[in-house]
Amino acid sequence: MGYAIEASDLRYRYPTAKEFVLKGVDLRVRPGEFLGILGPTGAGKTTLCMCLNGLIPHYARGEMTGDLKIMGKDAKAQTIAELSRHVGIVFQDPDSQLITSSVEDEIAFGLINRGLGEGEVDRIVDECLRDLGISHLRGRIPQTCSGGEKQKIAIAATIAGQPDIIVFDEATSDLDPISVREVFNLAAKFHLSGKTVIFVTHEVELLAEYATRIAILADGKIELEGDPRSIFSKRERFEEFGLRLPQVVQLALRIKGRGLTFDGLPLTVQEARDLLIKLGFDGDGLRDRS
Amino acid sequence: MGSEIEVEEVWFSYSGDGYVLKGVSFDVKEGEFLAIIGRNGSGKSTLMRLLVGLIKPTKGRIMVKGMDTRKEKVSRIAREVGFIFQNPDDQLFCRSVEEEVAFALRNLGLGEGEVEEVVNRTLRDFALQDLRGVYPRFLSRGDKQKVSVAAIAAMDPSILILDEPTTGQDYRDSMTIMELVKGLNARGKTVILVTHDMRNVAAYAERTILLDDGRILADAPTRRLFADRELLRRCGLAPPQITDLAQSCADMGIRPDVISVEEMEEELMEVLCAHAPIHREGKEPP
Repeated sequence: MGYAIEASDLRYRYPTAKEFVLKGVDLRVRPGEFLGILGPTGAGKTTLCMCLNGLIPHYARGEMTGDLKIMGKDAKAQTIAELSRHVGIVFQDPDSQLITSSVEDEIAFGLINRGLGEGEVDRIVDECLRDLGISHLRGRIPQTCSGGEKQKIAIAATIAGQPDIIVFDEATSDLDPISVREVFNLAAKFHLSGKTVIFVTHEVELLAEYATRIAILADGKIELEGDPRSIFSKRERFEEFGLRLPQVVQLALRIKGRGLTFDGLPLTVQEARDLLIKLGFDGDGLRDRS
Repeated sequence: MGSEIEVEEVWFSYSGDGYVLKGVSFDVKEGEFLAIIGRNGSGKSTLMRLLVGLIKPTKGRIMVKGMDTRKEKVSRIAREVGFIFQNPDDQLFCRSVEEEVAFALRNLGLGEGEVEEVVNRTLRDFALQDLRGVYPRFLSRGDKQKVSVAAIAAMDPSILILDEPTTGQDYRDSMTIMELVKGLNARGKTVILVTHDMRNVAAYAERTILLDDGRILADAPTRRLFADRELLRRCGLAPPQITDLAQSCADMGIRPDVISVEEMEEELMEVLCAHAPIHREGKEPP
């Protein structure tokens, strides 16, 4: 099976910058993965995202070496327009990507540019608005919507283009907790439909729940990758990169430190509860043991 | 202790049609660490702008250290209330970290000798000596935010308002900022923190106000507020994951108002001791 994204020794430095921001990224993502990317500020996460849709090096210029293939094709040899059919990105600040004066136009914009017929555009717009639960915003001016609504509009516009890969670059930082979860649910829905999701975030609890694989990017390199359970067992590495483990994982490691034995780490509240029951904290098991 | 801030029946409308704040009242006492939470668009940022006098109540009154914000100059209020923005780029504009900290002090009319003394002390307190001569724009986001907190703290306001100070910051930087603010609070500063980061609310604020659609729906000790999961959910919020877990383990005898991993561990150890006296012998929790 081919890779959706294949980066080999990818290096990049911004024009006039002395240092490289990406210092040899090796990353392979299979189609249909939900990859979470964690990393300290300044690690190069946004730069990496911008490589994926060609903003780097086609727009930002600078120096790029190494290989990057998107859906099997060399990213450097494709235009931003070509890459945008494969990769859609949602950034932290929705204002930076909302450009029209109605929510409907915002979603239709990219579709019309691709020469789709009016009927088809209407159908896709309807579908996207419904999927995101924002049909009521259809006629609104995006700039007058709340931060959470704007982010949903930006996501709708990105999904409308039906890219193979959707990238969320700290797209939930400005949102309240319920909206954050809604965005993760949308990403999960996209993922379930067979698409590839890259989610860059500091929301480690939600990544634990949703990601099929997690990679840590630090100082321009992928330092660690694996499935969530195995990656969270490397507590020292997390501390080394100034990252935080999910609270249920922290708790599990602490009670392990108290001498209770069990295999595997819980990734969700439900799994943590199940673990506590297995350990007998609901009463029965504890009485049996004594 | 007296009230630093008194918000009395405040209504506010930007355009005349539709109120963003709808009759908000609360007091803030000297030395408190207060969090204000609420979904996007609930009126939090508007309320903060009102507190520093950048905008004035449409109805009602706000008193800050005895000053009526409708009558007092913003510059006068700014001496008492330091405002730290979400994006440090919005408030850094000097050519070096040192100048950044000195800038407002000179504006306050301090002599050069005194400016130097305060700058030195502040840079030391915030561990910024090494970055003294660096152009603030070249700093990492975390260091930039540290410099903006330092520059505000140097002016020695009695109240600090932080509007989403840790958004987009990684855990280490976010902790550094929060610990600095905690230190300032321990030295008597009143702190008002606006944030979506419920872990920081749980870890640092003893009191929390929940704002929804321009109204105060709750004003309570943080722990008690987080125990009311239904109310939080209705307002677009969710408690920290560990509180969620504690509440799902009510049948094990765990309190619903656990707000940290350490507390949850303690609760579990108590359950262990209660159920299994034999375990207690061998595994006494410290």
